[in-house]
Amino acid sequence: MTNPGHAPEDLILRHATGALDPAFSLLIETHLAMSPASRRLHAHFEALGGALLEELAPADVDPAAWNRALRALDTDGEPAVDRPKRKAAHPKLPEGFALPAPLANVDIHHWRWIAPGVRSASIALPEHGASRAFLLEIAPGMTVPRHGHVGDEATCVLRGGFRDRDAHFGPGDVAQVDEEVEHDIVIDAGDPCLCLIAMEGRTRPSSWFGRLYQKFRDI
Amino acid sequence: MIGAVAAQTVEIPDRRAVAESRLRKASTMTLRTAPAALSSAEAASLIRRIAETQDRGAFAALFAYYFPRVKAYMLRVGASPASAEEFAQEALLRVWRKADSFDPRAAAASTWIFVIARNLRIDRLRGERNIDGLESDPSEEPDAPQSGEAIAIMNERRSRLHAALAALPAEQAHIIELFYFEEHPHSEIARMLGVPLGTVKSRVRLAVQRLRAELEDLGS
Repeated sequence: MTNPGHAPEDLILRHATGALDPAFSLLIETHLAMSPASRRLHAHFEALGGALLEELAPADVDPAAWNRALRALDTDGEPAVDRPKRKAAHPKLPEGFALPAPLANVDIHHWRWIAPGVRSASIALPEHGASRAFLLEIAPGMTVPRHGHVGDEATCVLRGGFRDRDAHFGPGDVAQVDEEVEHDIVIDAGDPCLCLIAMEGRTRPSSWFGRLYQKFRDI
Repeated sequence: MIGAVAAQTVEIPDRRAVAESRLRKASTMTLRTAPAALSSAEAASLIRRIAETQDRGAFAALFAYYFPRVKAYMLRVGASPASAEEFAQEALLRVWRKADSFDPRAAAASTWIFVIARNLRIDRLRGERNIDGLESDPSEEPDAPQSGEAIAIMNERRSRLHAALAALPAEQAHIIELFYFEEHPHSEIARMLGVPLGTVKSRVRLAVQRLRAELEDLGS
């Protein structure tokens, strides 16, 4: 259902190469779960990694490496039994809405009020990275100020949608901020818009979320 | 006949010797030459033998081919020589342990091993995930192919990938390569192209979109 124009090819490539930190990895895995076309592209990029791996000039190896490997096989016990997985903690979500699998498997904190019609829930990532991830839910029909900025930020729509100038973003689409233009985002009528956002660094006033927060806090 | 029998009994060391001499010849990495050694079908059959009979001979052949390459990969992405050796060792052990989860219809052996090596590196960098058993590893479970046609495409994928890369302008192919193997691709690209960091993003996007178009042309 995703719009082919809204696939974050560069982030999909960086995910395939293993370069993304936990927050952006989660965002891309969520996007992949929602977009078959992007899954195909991701598979191409992984296959390319395999092809490039084969072409690397082989490194000099310790002559004892193979014997070490054999010893490891000998001492290799039974495969570890999978620990029972506990259920991840989630805030209250809309009736009938299921989170895509990558998000369903992480702990998400309670909703936090940001402004009238706006709330956010931060996501507990497995370890600290340079970036953070959170859910943002905005009431239908709202106009949100957004300011382009330098620095990575990506938004994956989970439910509902919004219009950003001429482009419309619906479930599975990813919006990336990379322009120095101030403009408004208009949330679709109907359902609230639920998004997953990955953002480099801590909240900064130039970011969408930060601007939102600042704007409403100042009221 | 005796010669043939002898060759049979020393098959594994022979394989390694051949592979290693081939490896020594490949002194520089290039995107444009086809890979020399193990074919996809051979690698897949070695992995199947490991899965079915814990065949150490098959593992030796796979190890000889992939261990030096996985170590080279770890070095390229910034590991110290000692860590690279250890990570490569662990990656190949994962290949041994997970052999039964390899599905040749879903991904080429090289792809599967690349993903294992990549994930191992991420785990080590992040300090082992999965600590509370919450996070599964969906990236090592490739999507099942949609059709018989997709399987046929998979078999040809390696040459297609090379065709796709070869179709890119040299600068763009180089950008893509840096993404796979450099720790800080953006600053490397900025230096290589002599452009400011801010410009790198748009050049990267251009290269990736171009590659996507080439891949999709080939895949259709």
